[in-house]
Amino acid sequence: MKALRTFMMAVDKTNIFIGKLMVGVTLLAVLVITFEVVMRYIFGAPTNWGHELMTLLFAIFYVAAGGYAHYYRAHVRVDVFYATRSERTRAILDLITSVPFFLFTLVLFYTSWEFYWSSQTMEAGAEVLGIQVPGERSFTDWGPAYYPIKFMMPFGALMLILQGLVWLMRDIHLVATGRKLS
Amino acid sequence: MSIETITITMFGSMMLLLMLGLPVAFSCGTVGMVFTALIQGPMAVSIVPTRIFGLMTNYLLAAIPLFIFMACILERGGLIAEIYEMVYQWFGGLKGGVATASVMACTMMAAMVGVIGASEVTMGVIALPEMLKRRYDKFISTGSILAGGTLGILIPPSVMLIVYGMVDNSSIGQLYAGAFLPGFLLAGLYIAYISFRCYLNPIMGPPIPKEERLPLITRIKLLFPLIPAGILVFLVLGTIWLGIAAPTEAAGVGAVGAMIITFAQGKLKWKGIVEACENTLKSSAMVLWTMFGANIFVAFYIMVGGGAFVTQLLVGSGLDRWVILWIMQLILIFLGAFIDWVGIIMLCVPLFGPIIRKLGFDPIWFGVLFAVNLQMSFLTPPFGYALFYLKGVAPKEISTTDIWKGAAAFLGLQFVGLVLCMIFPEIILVVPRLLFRG
Repeated sequence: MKALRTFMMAVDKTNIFIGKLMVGVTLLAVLVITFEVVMRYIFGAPTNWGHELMTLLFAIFYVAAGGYAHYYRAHVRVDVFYATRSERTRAILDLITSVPFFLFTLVLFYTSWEFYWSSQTMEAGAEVLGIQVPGERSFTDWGPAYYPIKFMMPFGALMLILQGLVWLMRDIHLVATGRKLS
Repeated sequence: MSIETITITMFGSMMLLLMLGLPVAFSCGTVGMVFTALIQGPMAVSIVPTRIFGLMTNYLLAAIPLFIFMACILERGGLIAEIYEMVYQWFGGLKGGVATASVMACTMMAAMVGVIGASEVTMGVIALPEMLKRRYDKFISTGSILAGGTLGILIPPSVMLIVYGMVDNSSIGQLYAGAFLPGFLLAGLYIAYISFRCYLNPIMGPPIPKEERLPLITRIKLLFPLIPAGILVFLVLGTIWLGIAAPTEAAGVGAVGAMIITFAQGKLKWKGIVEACENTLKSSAMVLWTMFGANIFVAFYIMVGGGAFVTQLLVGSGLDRWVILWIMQLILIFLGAFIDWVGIIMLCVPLFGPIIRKLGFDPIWFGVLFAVNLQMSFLTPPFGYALFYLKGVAPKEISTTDIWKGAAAFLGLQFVGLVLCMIFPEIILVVPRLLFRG
């Protein structure tokens, strides 16, 4: 039991920590777009990376936060039948819907891992210091590497799966004992 | 499987999962994946990450977290409260004045924020207790805040119209221009209704007593702190309409501008910024994951011929095009009671958009009509964001039923607004024509 508790704590803490990191990413993205706007409209010297960097930062931000949002139960539900049930009934409903939930997240994890891996190992890489480096790059002028962004997709799916497992354990405990796990 | 069977089983199983309480993102996503695997084979599922990657790296969608961030900062910085205080002093002397002031303050805020949460929560905390203290009618009090706060997502900058424009491939600048007058029309309807009720029966909303009103000079002084906010509105909306900046850039300017204004007035602490970021993260992750899931669902459905099927069903029925338009509006009102706006846009726009063009309606007009219609979705129980937000902050003596009843009259007004925009398309189209086609 102790190991399970440690696992649950670890997952919760990790997702909260990711949230804290993403606070930094948000501010960074805001700074980048500000810099770009100032350079473009005040100095007339737009960068070739501002917009893309901001977009990619936000891309990381959305997918990485999947588990964080699930920790806070922020993923929006339809509260027609669900919300008016007792806590225990809701836990039972959650146990039932955990089947499609894990189906979705596991398939997402598997497919996006493949998606990332084919990008990581792509031949058409760039030259860094005269050495050919594999990995997919964006087709823009700036041409940043795409695979770190794509890596965030299986990572986000994994964090969602782990957070889902924590909720599953809480639900099982509630259904079995009628008490909430503190 | 025939398209009829696919339609019924897909929508049926999605509805079942939604009812059981699985979040919209995962319900749509699972059903979309399972059907893709069943009908096109397991290998076909590998298209899913490509679609998600397309959405998450979409440049236009980056405006969503930026606008949400801007609203969170303005909320933390107390700007909403300041605007309310100013309008309250100017118009509180009217019958029903506090409720009118609430709607006006919400309308002004709506021109700065693109979501509903910030105004709804702030007004629920300051204006609602004020109205109850002055013995305002409970339903007028709750209804004015519910309906007023909802304007945030209609009056530009609006996050809803960004998602709509992205899905429908129509110009966000034009949609913003189109949503302007309908937003003010709705605000006008709310104020007219409040005043009408309170002039007939002043007990429902007594004016502020004379001795509590501030002298003119003090009231004029209240306007000064709001000048920077006015400049911010111009920077955000003006640059989009003059075609200077893309919506995402304008959103970035708005986010930084909001930080500078609140920071300069000494109202923004580091803790406030972090909290604003965290709220932005939760809301944006929710919106984007719902988009991911719904996209998996609808992209598959259209690929197997669902779009053509729905078009055939509606256009091929031989019904008058206005009847078809009404059917769509009723579908939206119905869905709005159960599903959140992101899901509705993702599921309905890819199906309705082509039909609207086929019937010869103006796509910009329909887009704004869509947004006006979805105003109701925030107020229709059982699932209405505005209802949840207000219930979350309302004093204990206000029950959920009070909030639902308060929403009822204003829902009626929103419906009147929708009908007016349908009968007189100029309400929507005059501004875009002036700005873009003149």
